[in-house]
Amino acid sequence: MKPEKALIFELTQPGRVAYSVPDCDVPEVDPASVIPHGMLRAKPAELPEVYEVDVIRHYTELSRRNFGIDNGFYPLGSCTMKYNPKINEDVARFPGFAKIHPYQPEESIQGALELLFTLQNDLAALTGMDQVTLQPAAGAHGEWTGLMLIRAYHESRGEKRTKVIVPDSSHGTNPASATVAGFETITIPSNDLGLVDLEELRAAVGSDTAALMLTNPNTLGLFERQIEDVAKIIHDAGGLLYYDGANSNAIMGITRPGDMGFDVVHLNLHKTMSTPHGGGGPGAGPVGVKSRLVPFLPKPVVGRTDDGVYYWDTDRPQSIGRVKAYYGNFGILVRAYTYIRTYGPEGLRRVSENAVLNANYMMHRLAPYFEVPYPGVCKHEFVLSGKRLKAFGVRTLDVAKRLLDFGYHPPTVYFPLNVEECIMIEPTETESKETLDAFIDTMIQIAQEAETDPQLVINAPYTTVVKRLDEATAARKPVLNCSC
Amino acid sequence: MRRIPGRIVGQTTDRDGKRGFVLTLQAREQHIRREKATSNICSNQALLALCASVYMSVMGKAGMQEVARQNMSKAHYASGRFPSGSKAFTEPFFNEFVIKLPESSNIPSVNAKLLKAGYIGGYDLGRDYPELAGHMLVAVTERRTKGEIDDFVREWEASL
Amino acid sequence: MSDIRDNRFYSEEHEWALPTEGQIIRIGITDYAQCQLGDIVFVELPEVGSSVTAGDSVGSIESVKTVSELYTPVSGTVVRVNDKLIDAPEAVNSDPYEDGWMLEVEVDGSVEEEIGKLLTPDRYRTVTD
Repeated sequence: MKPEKALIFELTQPGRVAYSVPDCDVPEVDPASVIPHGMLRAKPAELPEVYEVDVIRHYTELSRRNFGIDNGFYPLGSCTMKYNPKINEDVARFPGFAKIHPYQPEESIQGALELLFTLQNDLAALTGMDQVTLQPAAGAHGEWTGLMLIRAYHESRGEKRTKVIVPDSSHGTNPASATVAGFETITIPSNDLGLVDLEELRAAVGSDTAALMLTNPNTLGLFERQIEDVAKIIHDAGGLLYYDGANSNAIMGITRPGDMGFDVVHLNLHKTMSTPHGGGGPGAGPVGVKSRLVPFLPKPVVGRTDDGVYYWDTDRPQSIGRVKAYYGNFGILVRAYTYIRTYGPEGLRRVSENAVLNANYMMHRLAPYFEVPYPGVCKHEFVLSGKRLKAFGVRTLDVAKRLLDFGYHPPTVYFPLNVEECIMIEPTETESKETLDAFIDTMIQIAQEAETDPQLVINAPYTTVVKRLDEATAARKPVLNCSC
Repeated sequence: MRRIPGRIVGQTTDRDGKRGFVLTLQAREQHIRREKATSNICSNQALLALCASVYMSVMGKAGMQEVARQNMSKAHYASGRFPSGSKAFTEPFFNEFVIKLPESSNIPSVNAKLLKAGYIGGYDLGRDYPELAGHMLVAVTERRTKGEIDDFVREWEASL
Repeated sequence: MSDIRDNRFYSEEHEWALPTEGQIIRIGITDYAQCQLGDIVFVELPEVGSSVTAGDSVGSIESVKTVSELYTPVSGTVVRVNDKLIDAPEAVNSDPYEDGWMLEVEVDGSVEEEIGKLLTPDRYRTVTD
């Protein structure tokens, strides 16, 4: 068993330092002569006192205690944990991109502006939208931005529309973003096929409908085949159609939200465009809109003069304003741009085709062992139900934990909420058949273990740096500060 | 505590009593509470938190103060190098200060000349505060040397 | 097999109701409900003195990965809540029918009338089968 890992604070020895800064070569100013009394700290902040080598070893060890996409297969449904090509990182580290500041004069950052301008246009072309803002920091921020655009659009027409409709299979961010944007959410049940129930939708729309938020394919991995009917119902009621782009990895180069009737789209670049997730980098959630919403886009957007000079376009009187400091998570936008240039239009289409093929292959091989609540052809992801294993006292959570022992990140579990004991698998296009087969064989083995030796599964994991963690006590009696 | 937005990490123990960490108080969050959640935040921005954490570990208790002192000393040195008539405010400042240009000069032209000389000039405050047209905000950090500060002020005077 | 007590009445939403004395009915969630929720980590209860109508959401019950509404099966005024659950929500898991009770409602009408609208233990058994 690996020993318990010390916190960096526990490595402190008074007086140790890991830094060196140049000597101060100007007259020293006494802080007390400048900062008003009472605003000066009485004693320094309680920060670690360690050597540089301690810092390096500490954080390197922490990184080794994490499972990331570079460690192994990561079939986390709806999160599109594809391999992130290293060229993205190389380009993002070019000093010309990494060491600039957004307040620099436009003439000194023409390269960065050209990149942003091209990315705006590329994403508009991919989604079938007329204009894109790159400001939102991630998907949910994109949703909120999109909803604020929808509100501004309705208000500009003198309409007060207060309700946002979401299907029960939608991501939790959709209703949460609607609330944060000041709307009331109406949740409608899906039909027996796992799709939007048109009758329920017709009953829900009205003169107060601001928008319907939808993923397509939806969170069950199913393509909403009657999307044109859905669009007509919403548009006839005077509402707008919002596309949650979390599942865009299924459709790139094959179909476009704009062609399906969507008015507003966000894309999660950290999913579809191979930029890092979470610990690897912040997200990015660009939002694209149809022309009737363009005047309301956050400002600035990047413009280009007829002479080919790029500039911040701030002259947008109907804009909802800035939604993010400066211009979004620029380093991430550089990575997404690099990915799009690397693959090109044909390559991006193959990405989606292979993502869909991989998902269907896995679903068909796993179907005899886990219930498939919505059989047929799936898109880039699919859901299984682990409810058969409940008879042996084994729950989906246990299966997820047991997968850790085999070196896999578990799939998404207990989502969507409308599938009992849900297991949601998204393989992505970047995995080989050998990887998919090995994972499938492991899932089959765990299903058999659940029958023959349920305790083995229930007590998993065994091989990780910590065993199963007590989440209940963590939530009942939260310890949120270092007590050392 | 059960109403604050965003992800929260808590300390707990594993089956063997060993310390571990989990995302906790998740029932506040959008993936569980949906429209009643305390925020819509989903993707984390942990790389930035990691960078800050590593930086604070490197600088530590003494380093953070040393950096702050150098910022303040160098900014005050720089401020003192500008002509006395150019000081816009007399209030205390930390590491950035406002310089007022002479009436005969303007910021776009000064900053264009500075750029040719290899400097990105001060921030044009008139862009955000019309009453501060002709005022630029200059920042100095611990990374600048006395020589660099002297050179910058000389170029600034030459660009007026 | 979940524990269903014969001395109380039940709702479709898995609450139990137990007349205690006078016009007062004690309310909690069933063993079946606590089992479905898993480890309960926080219980939000209504304010004493608030008036409630049967079917109203009067609070919420959080487990590690879910949250569910607490509905009152009867109408009246909240006269007491189980404050011990604030510090020890795990009592709902370990003893849902006794230590894990949640609130007491003083009904406006007759106790028999309120209780009459609820499920008998046998009927509730068919709901959880």
